[in-house]
Amino acid sequence: MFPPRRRIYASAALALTGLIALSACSAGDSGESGDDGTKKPLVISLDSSVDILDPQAWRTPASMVTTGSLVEQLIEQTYTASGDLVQIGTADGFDPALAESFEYSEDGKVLTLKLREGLTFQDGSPLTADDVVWTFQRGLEGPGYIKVLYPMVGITSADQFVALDDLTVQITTPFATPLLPKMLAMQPFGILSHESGEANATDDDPWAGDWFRENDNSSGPYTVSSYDPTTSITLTPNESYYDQDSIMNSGVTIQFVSDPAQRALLLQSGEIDLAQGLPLDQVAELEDVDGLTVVSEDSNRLEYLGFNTSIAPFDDPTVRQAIAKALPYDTFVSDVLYGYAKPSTGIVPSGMVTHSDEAGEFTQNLDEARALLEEAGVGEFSTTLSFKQSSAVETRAAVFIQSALAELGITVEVTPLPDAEFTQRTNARELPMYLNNFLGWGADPFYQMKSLVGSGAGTNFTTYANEDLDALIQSGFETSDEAEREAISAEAQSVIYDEMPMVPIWNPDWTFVVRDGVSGLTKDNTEQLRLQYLTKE
Amino acid sequence: MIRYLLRRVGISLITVAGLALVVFLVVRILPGDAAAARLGPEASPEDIEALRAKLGLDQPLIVQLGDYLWGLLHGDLGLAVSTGRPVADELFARLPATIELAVAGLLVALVIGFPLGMLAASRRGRASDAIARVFAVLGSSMAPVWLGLLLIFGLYSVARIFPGPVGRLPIGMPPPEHITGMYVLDGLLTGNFAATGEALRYLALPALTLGLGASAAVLKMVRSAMIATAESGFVRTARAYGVPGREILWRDQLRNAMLQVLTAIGLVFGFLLGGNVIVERLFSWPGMGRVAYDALGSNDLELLQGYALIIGVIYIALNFAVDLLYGVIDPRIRLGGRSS
Repeated sequence: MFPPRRRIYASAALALTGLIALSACSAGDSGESGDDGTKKPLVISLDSSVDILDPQAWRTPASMVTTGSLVEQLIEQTYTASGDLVQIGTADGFDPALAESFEYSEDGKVLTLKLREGLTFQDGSPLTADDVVWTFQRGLEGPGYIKVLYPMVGITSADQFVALDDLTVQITTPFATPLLPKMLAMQPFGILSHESGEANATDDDPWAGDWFRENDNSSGPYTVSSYDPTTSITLTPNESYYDQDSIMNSGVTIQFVSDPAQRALLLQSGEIDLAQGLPLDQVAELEDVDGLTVVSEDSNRLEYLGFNTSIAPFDDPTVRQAIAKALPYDTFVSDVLYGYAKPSTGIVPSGMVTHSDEAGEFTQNLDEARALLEEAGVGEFSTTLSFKQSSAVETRAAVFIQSALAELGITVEVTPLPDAEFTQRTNARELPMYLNNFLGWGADPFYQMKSLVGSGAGTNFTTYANEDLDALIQSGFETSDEAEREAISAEAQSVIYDEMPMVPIWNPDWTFVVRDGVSGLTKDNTEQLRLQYLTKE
Repeated sequence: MIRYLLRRVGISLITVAGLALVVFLVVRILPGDAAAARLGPEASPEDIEALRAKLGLDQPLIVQLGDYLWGLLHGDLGLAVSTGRPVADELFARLPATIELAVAGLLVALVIGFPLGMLAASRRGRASDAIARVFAVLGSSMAPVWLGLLLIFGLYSVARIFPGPVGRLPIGMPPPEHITGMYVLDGLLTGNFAATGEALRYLALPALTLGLGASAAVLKMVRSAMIATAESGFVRTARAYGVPGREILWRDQLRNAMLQVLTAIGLVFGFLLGGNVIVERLFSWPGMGRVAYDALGSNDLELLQGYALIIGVIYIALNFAVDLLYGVIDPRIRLGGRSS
């Protein structure tokens, strides 16, 4: 009537054995495919997943990398090798891309770009000056972020983009600015298809945001061959791309692995070729693992301690300076970032053009810090230090900051916040003191300073406002002369150092771990990975 | 029976309405502005206000509630802030992965917990009972994330028995033709047995992670229910009449214990559906829990609201199903509610 107990156990054991056998038989079957003899496909895992495909409206870093590969810019940065595995975009060198030539008017206010003949999108439709103008106008008036950059080069109206003929585009700005070519070389300024945009526009969505969110008609090196927003995206070379030789692999799959520790395991097992966003202690351990290489390059990304300058006692610059003098900059690098960072050199990092050493040093000097605090006359006080609880690095750094400020009689309550709450409260300018980070696209010093401490800038969470400084930064935007830019930048850096609305504390390295044989890691001026240059032996 | 059914349907509908109200209010109380979150830090106050007006967020709360409920009736859960896609599309596309994992976890829990619970109850006070209880304590006290890490390390990284945590299929393998969205089932239905085999392999570790923890709850419930029935009058009577012990165990004790066990299974399945957020993240499993986890990070309240509502409705549906099964198992319930 009932199965004997032994038979039940035997069945269960058989089922388990079967599953294990099935696993064992299939393990290792997921090897690479699609090898075309010279170029190989790569599987990589970045620090986020790909949320949407619109190059002007992505929301995660991995989306920026991906969508940037689905569009081509008018001009490209000039890259130079850094060791055997890496190439890095130079600060001010540019090569032709979709535009075979570009030249400025004598006063530097009109940039004329001539497109290559015979360019097409992925669907075979021609890529003309009309697409370029439509793309830039979409950036200005449509969805997405790049509209933030336009005012910095003096672009406020769609009329400033003109198609002179099918192959010629003219961009007019009220002043000559070296930021314009940097901007045009950024992947979010890659060219979209006007025809696709028009065909998929609606009254509520005139720029076809909904269509571009999930579709592509690539002008770039890749097309999307499969995409699941929570699993992976696979890119294969775009047969319509004008420069097939520059695509150094036969495709890239970005596998979304949410847990960084699992990402490291997959890398070690050979299931992925490159991983980003691994915990730094784990990166340090992987240095000694055979078959893996840690790639770590200087970066302009800036980690900073921000103050709300509208909240006492942080409304007093002397208090802010005192805190800046109390921080253990070298300890952050060695004990928090395991050496994968550089100690702060200022709001304009030493790797960015016009960096000035004259502004002031960022070194710990507790005696000076105490003297400054005494001069401010605020006595001992308590405050909170907020940061994103998902950031292991900031969590560790907060403890060192708490300890350092205790030396000055400042009691710090360490307050990790859920990421969403942190974003919400920094946007609302509610947090007295917080850890945050910023990367200025284009490695432009004036963009960097305006974004971090410019009056009313969306990413200036300090509430600091200084009209004189704003004017100085604006004059930097409007100057092409290198010596003059250096002088203006140095003066602005000095003002910011004296006012100290935020303390730059370190520059984290641009870090990846790759399997041996992987090279061609390319860092552009937005510090994103350029996928088409990745190679695998 | 029809009255019983109608009463249960009515209670379920009232619960769903209450749930929708609570979810709506909780999301409005939480800090965060959907319009500001969607437009990002660089958005101007004018743009934010315009979007607030477009989303109806500038309307009185009661109007917003009305719009929300009207939308729900039409299957409209709003737009996800993080992706701009309809929330319903985002979540229902992930539901099959979550159900597949939860069902597999439940099977693991039942396969382990049920026989161990029976064994422990039938050998109460003996060594095997003690071992089962130790297993139950360990199972309930071990966090799924920790267990998952141990399993990944031991069975993937070291022993290489199971595949790595990259989701539902090997990297680059296309899913089987979509019928239910559950790859194991779709592979079987379409004759794509390779996909079924791979889907089972990739399902194994997350299912074990979920199921091992849940098996402790099943074990404890089966054990206590079986012991309770063993001490009841009808079992003593059956023994006095010389009915064989195994027959008493399977026919009398088990059927009477099933009411409690069924409740436990319903609760465990609900927990597996809604409580696997961390497991889905750990194994890169593309289910609703992972979407909810990502939504937390991106302040996507619309998506979280939809997730809470769908999981809540699934709980209610499970309770409803369990209620119906009560009626099947115990006729006294459907005939007039003399027992509860």
